[in-house]
Formats: sequence, C-alpha cells, structure tokens
Amino acid sequence: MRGGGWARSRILGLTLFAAAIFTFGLTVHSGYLLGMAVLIALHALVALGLGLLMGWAGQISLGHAGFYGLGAYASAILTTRFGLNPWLALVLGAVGTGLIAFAVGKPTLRLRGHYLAMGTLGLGLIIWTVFNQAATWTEGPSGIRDIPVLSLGGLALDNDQRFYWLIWPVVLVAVMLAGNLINSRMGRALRALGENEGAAAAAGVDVARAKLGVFTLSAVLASIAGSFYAHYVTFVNPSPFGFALSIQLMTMVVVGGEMTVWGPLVGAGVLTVLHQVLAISAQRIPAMEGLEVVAYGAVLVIFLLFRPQGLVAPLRRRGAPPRAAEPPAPRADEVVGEAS
Amino acid sequence: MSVPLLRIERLRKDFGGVHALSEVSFSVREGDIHALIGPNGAGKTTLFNCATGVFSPSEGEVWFRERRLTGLAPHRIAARGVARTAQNLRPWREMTVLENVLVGCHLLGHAGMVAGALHLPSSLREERRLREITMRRLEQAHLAEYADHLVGELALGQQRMVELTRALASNPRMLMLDEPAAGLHTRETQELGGLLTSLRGQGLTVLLIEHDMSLVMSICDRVVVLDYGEKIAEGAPREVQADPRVVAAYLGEEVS
Ligand SMILES: Nc1ncnc2c1ncn2[C@@H]1O[C@H](COP(=O)(O)OP(=O)(O)OP(=O)(O)O)[C@@H](O)[C@H]1O
Ligand SMILES: [Mg+2]
Repeated sequence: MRGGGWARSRILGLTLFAAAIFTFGLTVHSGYLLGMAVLIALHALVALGLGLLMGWAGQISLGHAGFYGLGAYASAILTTRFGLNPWLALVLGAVGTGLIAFAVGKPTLRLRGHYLAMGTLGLGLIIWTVFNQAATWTEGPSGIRDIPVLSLGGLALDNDQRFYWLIWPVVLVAVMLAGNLINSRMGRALRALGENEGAAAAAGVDVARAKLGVFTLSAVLASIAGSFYAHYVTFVNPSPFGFALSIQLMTMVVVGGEMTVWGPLVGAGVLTVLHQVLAISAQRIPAMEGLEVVAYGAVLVIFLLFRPQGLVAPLRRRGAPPRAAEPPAPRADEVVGEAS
Repeated sequence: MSVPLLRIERLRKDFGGVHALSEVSFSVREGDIHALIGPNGAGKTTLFNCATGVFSPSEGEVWFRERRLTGLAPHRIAARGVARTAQNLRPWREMTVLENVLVGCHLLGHAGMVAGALHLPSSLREERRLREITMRRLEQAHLAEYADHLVGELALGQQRMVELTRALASNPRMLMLDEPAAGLHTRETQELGGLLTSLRGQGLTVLLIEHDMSLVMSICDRVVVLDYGEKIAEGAPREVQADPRVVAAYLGEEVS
C-alpha cells in the first residue's frame, strides 16, 4: 500500500486473470469460441474506459460506439488508402479520436448535469451519418474491404487463435493501467469528485478538467479497440457502430458494475454472449426478431432497479460492516485522546 | 499585521427574494481565530460559499492577501491557500482515511492521469512523497492506526478529525470551518479548541462558524455577528457578547 505499490488483492486478481487467459487460450481450439472471446475482449476494452467515466466521474456517454467506429474507420482508411502501417494507423486514430472527444467534452463537462450524455448522443449520430454518407472516404453502407491484418514480429495475426493471444494480453495490460490510475493522485481525485464534487473542488481538484481527462481517455481506449476490430474482421461498415451498440456498451458497464475494473469485463462477457444467443434464436425463430432491443432494455432496467452496483461490487476490506448508513454513535471515551 | 489576510467587501447575495447577505463587510487579520456567528439562517454558510467560489455573490468582492477571489473557481481559490470544511459536507466515506488525506494533498502534487496509469517514475516518486506527508499528518492527528479504514466506519468525532486533517494537508494559509463542533461531546469540543489554538500558534488563520458559544468565547480573537444577512456586531468576544443587538438576535437562544 505504501509508496504507491500494489495491494496484494490486485496482484492476486491480475494473476488469476492472466491464468484464465492462458487456460482458455491453450485448451479451447474452436474458432467459434475463440472468435467470441475476441469480440468480448474488444467490448471489454471499450467498457473498461466507459466504466471509468461512469463509475468515477459520474458521467454517461451515449456515443462510445462512435469512438469505437472512429478507430475502426481510421485504421481502415489509413491502411487501405494510404498504405500506412496498421500500428501507426492505430495510434493516429487514437490521437484523432482523443482530440474529437476533447473538443466535445470541454464545453459540455464544464456544466453540471448530464450535458455530456446529450453531446455524445449527438456526436454518435453525426459519426454514424458520416460513415454512411461520406462515401468517397468510407464507401458508404457497403463498407471498406480488404483491411490488412496486424502482424507482430513478422507473424501475421490472421486467425482467431493468433488474434486471441494479442487481444487478451492487451486487455490484461489495460486492466492493470486502469487499476494504476484509480490508485493514483488523479484517480483518487476522480473518486472523490464522484462521491462529492463540491468537496473535491474545495480540496483543489479541477473537477471539469478531471472529468474531461477521463472522458478523453475512455474515447482513446474505444478508438484503440475499434482499430483492433478493423484489423481482426478486415472489413468495416457503419451498421455495428450505431446507437444500439452505445446502449449495449452502457449496459455492460451497469450489469458488470462500474466501481471496480473487473465489472465492465464481466459485463462485456455476459452481454456479448447474450447478444449472440439472441441473434441465433432470432435466426431460428422468426418471432424473436427485434426482441433483442427489448431484452437489453429489460436487462438495463432490472439491474438499475435491483442491483445498481452490478454483478461485481467492490470488496469491503477487513470484515468491515457494509457501509453503515450513519456512523456509529461515538462513545464519550472512544474519541477523546484522539484529537489533542 | 496591518494588511488583513481576508477582506469581505460589501458582500450581497440574493436567492430570489431572499436576501441571504446584504452589504456585509469585515476583515480577518492574519494569525487570528475569527468567529462568524449568528442564528440559524443568518447567512453564515452563504458567506463561506461566496468566499470559496461555490456561489458568485450578487454584489461585492472577497479579497485574500490583496488578490481578488471573487470570480475564481473553487479549486483555484483552494490553490491560493484557502481550505475549508463544510457544514453538511462530509469526508469521502467510501474512501479510506489515508486516501481522504491524500486527496487533501492534491494541490501538493502534479502527476496527471497518464503518468499515474503508466506508473512513470516521477509519479511514483511524488506518490511516495505524498504518502509520507499523509502518514505524518495522520500520526499527528492520532489517526494513523485507522489509515486503512473506510471513513464511513469511524465515529463522528474521528470523521471530523479526518476532515480537519484533510483540510490541513495542503498547508493552507487560512482554514474556514463551518460548525466543526456540531455533534461533538464536550471533551471533544474542548480538544478541538485546543487544536485550533495550537494551529494559530503555528501561524494559521482560522475563520470559524460556530454555534457553541463557550468554544467561541474561549478561543476566538474576534467575532462577527450576522443576523438576517446583515452584520449586526463585530469586536472582541466579550464586547460582542454584551451587545444588546446580539442579545436581541439570540433572544430565546442561549448565549453563555
Ligand atoms: N442555495 C440556496 N438557494 C436558496 N436559498 C438559500 C440557499 N442557500 C441558502 N439559502 C437561504 O439563505 C439564507 C441563509 O442561509 P445560510 O445557510 O447561509 O444560513 P446559516 O447562517 O449558515 O444557517 P445555519 O446556522 O442554520 O447553518 C437562508 O434563508 C437560506 O434559506
Ligand atoms: Mg450554515
């Protein structure tokens, strides 16, 4: 704990997570399952950033599918049109997306309330429209084909298994960095303002700037995930990056729980599997068509009503009583001697 | 001593038709414990909020060390050396005692989000430094053994101490306390008085809103009395206590 080191529980969590990644990767060979795992990882990256924003800065973004799409399209266009190295395209996409998020967040986050939600809702729609309409660049609804695959040290990541071994370690690193952030000076500032904005400002925290920082960071993370998506699927079109995905991502955070870095991960897993199950049933049973959106709405409402903390709630330490509503009344002899 | 540390100039604050503050002016000398008293709803907290940038006053200005505070955002005012606690604003109950005081050290550090996430050496060094400062503060406040407890688990008196320690962590020039003794036992209140007196000895200036008259009378150098948003008296504690307007304002309330 001292000196900014890692708490034992964090090391344990990350170790178990790494072990799970290895076990799955070594034992599962089904392309379908590996593909699903890759999809979960991509969603997990976006949800992780969104979770930081929702859990710590208390803000909602309805445009994260747009940032995800920006990363995907930036990589698609820069590599197919300009022949850029995919890794360079990924970085440029992330920088560009970060700048756009900054520009939208700056005016909206200075105001109190949920102006960011409205701003990002609009931005998401604009981005989606541009993907569809700016056909000279994006090929419109038919999309961009033949995006090159990523390669790492000369090895082309051209199948599900290889991509799995890239993307899950990336998620592991992202979880590690998010944990570092939460336990750093700015992370504490974010948690403090999440619980009480006025008190954080009185302690010298630039509340608007802190929120802008985490929002921009979450957009950058979404963009990086989008770039990975483009090189994994090798094809992008507008349809996956619409409002529905933004809602789905938000649902992942709510279902998983936004107060730990593990919550969004679990949420991404649960919701991505649910999505797949619903899609398959819709194919088999025509009556199920369109039920998906209803299912998400229902899941969202059920969790907000009955388990707002999500599936993964933060652990209380040392058998502490679960958040007493009021502090226990101090005994006369208990507190004296503490002050002086 | 001639130049005041804090100057409140013709401060006015209206909430719709309610005149929470009208034409309030007074100064706080460096090194004083200065009390701001008055019946419920007199405008004391509103004055704090105007001085610390939470509200912008309808009229008037607040000056600190001959620089204007009015118009600055709360975090900028904090950076000028003004720390405060608030009446209804508690410490961060979902964070540990250590983390609460670390947030209090926010202004002593610089590390941004990226540096913190990447554990850059500069940010780790800074983190170590802030933690050392924090642990020292906690030891002074006899809170070290609770460092890893969530604040919400502590007794009220201890929570107050955490809040005070947090406010002091950034080495402020002036400390503004809104009813710090509310809910404390007599002995805790006396200890709070002792602590404030010793902080004054170290050169800290304190502006104190307090209903506990025995505390005010025993530790304060100067008192300003508000009633219905107006300043009705100012002076040494004994003078103010004897002022007929003050007695009338407190009629039905006990002035001891
Ligand atoms: N945000 C606000 N909006 C509207 N009216 C307010 C607001 N804050 C304070 N007031 C009004 O301003 C007046 C002064 O309130 P204030 O809280 O400053 O009193 P106080 O002296 O701190 O009282 P107490 O001793 O009860 O804390 C009251 O009439 C209160 O109702
Ligand atoms: Mg008050």
